[in-house]
Amino acid sequence: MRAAKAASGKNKRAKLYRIKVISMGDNAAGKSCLIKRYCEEKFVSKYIPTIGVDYGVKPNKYNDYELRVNLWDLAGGPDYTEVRNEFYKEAQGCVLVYDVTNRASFEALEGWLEESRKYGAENMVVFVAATKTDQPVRKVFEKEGREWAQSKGFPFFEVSASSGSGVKALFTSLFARILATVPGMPEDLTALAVQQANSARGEDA
Amino acid sequence: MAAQPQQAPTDVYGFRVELPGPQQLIDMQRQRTLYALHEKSWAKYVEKHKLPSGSTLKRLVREGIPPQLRSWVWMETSGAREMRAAQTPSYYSNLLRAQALSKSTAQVELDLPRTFPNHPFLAAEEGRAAMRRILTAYSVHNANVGYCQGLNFTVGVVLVAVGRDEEAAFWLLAALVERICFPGSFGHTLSGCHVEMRTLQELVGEKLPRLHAHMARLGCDTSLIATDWFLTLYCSSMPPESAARVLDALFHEGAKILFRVALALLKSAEAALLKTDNAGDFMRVVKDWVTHLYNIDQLMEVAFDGIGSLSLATVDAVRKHKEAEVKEFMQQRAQQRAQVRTQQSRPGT
Repeated sequence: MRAAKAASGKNKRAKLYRIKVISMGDNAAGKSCLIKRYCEEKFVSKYIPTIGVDYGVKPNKYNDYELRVNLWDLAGGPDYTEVRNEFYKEAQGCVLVYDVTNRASFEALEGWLEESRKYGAENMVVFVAATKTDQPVRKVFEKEGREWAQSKGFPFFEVSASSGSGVKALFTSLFARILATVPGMPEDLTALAVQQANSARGEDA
Repeated sequence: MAAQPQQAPTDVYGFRVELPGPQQLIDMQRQRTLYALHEKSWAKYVEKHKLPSGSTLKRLVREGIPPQLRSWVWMETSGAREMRAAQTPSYYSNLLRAQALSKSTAQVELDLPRTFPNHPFLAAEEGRAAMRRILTAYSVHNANVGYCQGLNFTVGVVLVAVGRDEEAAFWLLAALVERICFPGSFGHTLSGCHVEMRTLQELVGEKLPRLHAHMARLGCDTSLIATDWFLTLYCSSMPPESAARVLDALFHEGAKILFRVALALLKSAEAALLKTDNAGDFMRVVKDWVTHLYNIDQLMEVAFDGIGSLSLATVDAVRKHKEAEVKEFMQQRAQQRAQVRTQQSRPGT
């Protein structure tokens, strides 16, 4: 992690840090919608499949700091392995996504971990996101998802990109965890990120 | 004049048009005027039902085929008509009867509702059923490719552009995958697409050296920006009516057009791209520019006249070199995977 150049804020210079986060999960699991929801604070129900890679960015202000999160949204299709694998090495965090209305996408999680590890993503912070929880038909119970994530030591969030529920809590918690694990991050920045994550989780509760 | 209900603007094929500013509206209207002009140039060939020959055909195709002639001209120039004629007349319907053999049904099903979800025909049951039939039939016809995510967009645009003639769309897809695009582009490892990405990178180096150096500094690989260009043949990247212009030339002149268009896109946006300071922003500038590209005439002018010579021989020479690289890279990956498997199966680890 390198601290990039300092960007000038309003009369005040904010110290800029960058982190890289990727999305993983099956085709049509809702990765792009989730990322769009977070970055642009809107929901696009008619979202098209990602071909290759997409990109989202969201600047986060924490007092004197700016944390710029680069979200690399990777296509989930089975043919795209070699397109994805370049991203695993450099990613500091990952949202591992499954769709609660599609059991196969839940059962594929293990395979996703395997793929990312094969390509060098060993120290990546992984958070599990269960999407489409606003849908009436559910094929994966919250308990199952939570237990699977716990068995791997990953934090777990149920989210809905449509209502926005859980989305902010998921991402802010992920960023806080990344900041805490990446060497060289200022302690007060990490503390601020943890505070923000706590309050986002509070809003959802 | 009676008040008209406010409707979302659409292109000649009924795709919704997003106009971020008045310039795009002007661009679209200019395009309409051009179609009318081009129709006049084509009139005598339509009358004889015979395509012009050689350089006249090339010029007229490059200027843009009038929308209602696309079905005819595409079938001829792409070789799709020949491919169809080489099979029994019932070939396509036989494939439909053999749909149960397809291994791609589930993937196709996931993508259909997400393929042009705003288009009045393609998003309706009728249009989805037609795309479903074309894509599954193709996965049976060419089991090596099966279904590759991205082809759904190409099929959507082609189907609408050929007046919903399903069988014509099927054969045009076959011509694209089997005759026009680089072999392996749509196969399970997308190896051909990787070759094309590396080839493009090299060509950017030759034609746009400053941009190439800038991309290298940012760590912005061509595959970040151009994968969808080559896998959907611009059909998910550009407004569909603009993509149809690319298809005009692609069907007639082959895959080097994909490079010409890619280079033209990068060249036209070069000034803005040189100002970006990270790969993500670079990618966003490119995407915004391509998504709203309605002045396709200007872009095609750059593609044909603004980037210098680009012969198939040049492209092929670079490809050959890159193909060897990709092959080696893929082999390394396979070995890496095999190693991980042995490590994992070792007891006690």
